[in-house]
Amino acid sequence: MMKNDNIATVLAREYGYHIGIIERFISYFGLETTKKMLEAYNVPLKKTIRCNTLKYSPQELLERLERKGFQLEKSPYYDLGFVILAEPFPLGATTEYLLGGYFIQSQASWLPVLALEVQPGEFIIDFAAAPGGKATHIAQLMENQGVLLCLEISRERMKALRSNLTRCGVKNVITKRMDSTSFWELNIKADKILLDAPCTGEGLMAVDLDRRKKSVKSDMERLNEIQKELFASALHSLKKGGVLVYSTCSTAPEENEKVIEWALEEFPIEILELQISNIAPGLQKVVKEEFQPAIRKTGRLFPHLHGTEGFFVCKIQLEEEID
Amino acid sequence: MSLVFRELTNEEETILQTELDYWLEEKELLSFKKENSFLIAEGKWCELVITTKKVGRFFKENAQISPYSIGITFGEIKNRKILLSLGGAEELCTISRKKLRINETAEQLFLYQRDILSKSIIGYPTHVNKGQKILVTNPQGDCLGVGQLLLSREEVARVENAEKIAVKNLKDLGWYLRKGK
Repeated sequence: MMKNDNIATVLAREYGYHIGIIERFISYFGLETTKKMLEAYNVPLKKTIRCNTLKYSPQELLERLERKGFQLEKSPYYDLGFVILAEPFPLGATTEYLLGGYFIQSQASWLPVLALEVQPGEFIIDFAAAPGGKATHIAQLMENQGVLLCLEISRERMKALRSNLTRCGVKNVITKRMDSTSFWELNIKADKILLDAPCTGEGLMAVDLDRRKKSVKSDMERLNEIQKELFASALHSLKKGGVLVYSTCSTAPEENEKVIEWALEEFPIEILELQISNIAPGLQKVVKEEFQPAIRKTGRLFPHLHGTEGFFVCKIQLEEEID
Repeated sequence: MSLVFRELTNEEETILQTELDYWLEEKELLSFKKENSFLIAEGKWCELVITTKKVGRFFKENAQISPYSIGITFGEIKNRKILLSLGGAEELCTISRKKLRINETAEQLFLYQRDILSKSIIGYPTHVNKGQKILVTNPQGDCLGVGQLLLSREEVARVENAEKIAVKNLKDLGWYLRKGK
């Protein structure tokens, strides 16, 4: 029998990955799961869209696109989502797309917004909003009521964010270009915050093949620091009882469970159950490190189990306002 | 260049009122103004933005935010007139009667910046005259953009004018593909 490090070399060669990634996968998820994940990452993700109910009902959108020759089926994960089975011409060139009738978005991207359990009239902040997929989703669930504040650090990405918000008919929005790590200094407190944090994107191996060849180690440390700074800033910007949803498109526990474990020790927070079916629970143990039992309430999507990119989501409630 | 957001001056209010008077009937105009809040975004250009009343109030109470944008750009104020944006056109389209309906073939061409031929028009409103602006829609009534009428209703009805340009394309949704990304 081959040792795990030899197996890692073989798998890295066979699937075209950086050896460090394979070694980490094996140590976190075990050999069998790693093999299943690598196999699943070789299957292209299904193209999916989310119906924008500010413009059309799902049925109306379905009928319109079918008339144009598209073949769609309802997503098993979300009643406003569709899987594209046939695309006679680019999905981004239909009149319905230009009218903001739908957003081309992966199934995993719907999860954090669903976890947020958006209500019309709330004050919600999207801490890393560009290009606007999740922000436009939040706005439609808010029914264009309440206040949606979208923060984004990149000047270039602000343009895409604004364009998508306009295209999707989002009127209840303010956008601001800033580093969200310092948002708390403005002393504005929200009902809910979405923090879809910048990450290594280790869950995107099916989409971004270049990522397979890169070691994530140096990125991981830098991003981990940013993730914690953003997390702290978000918690300082919540009202008492306010809700923070933290998500990443990474399978790395360093960017997920370990960030939540750190937050549980630092802040007066409680992890809430995700009201989402078919989601895998967060990891309880990584190598020799065991997490608090509450971490089990966090959620994960795996490519081999869910047919999506690797994804992590966690819903948190702030128990006491932080000054 | 960052934008400075502020309330409308009396002069800008008059310009907005004139624009809305053109597009909307009195009843629709009243409810439109009641439901929405308008602000000026001043930078290199003077933009008029439309948002909800609640966001308008939120902005006044939290001016320290210094926004990049608020709501949807309704149009640009230039030479005491409003050049309607795509967002502004869509806001008005559901309630304005000044809508011209075109067929599906023309819809695709219009989205590629083409003007509209007389033969492509399947619905011409009664409240507009040659030279005036019009909201252009597809057969389903979706707002495709803004045009300017070059032919009157009677001229469009004449068979010999079928191949003539009836509407000049001023702004169309294809912008999102050409420049909006």
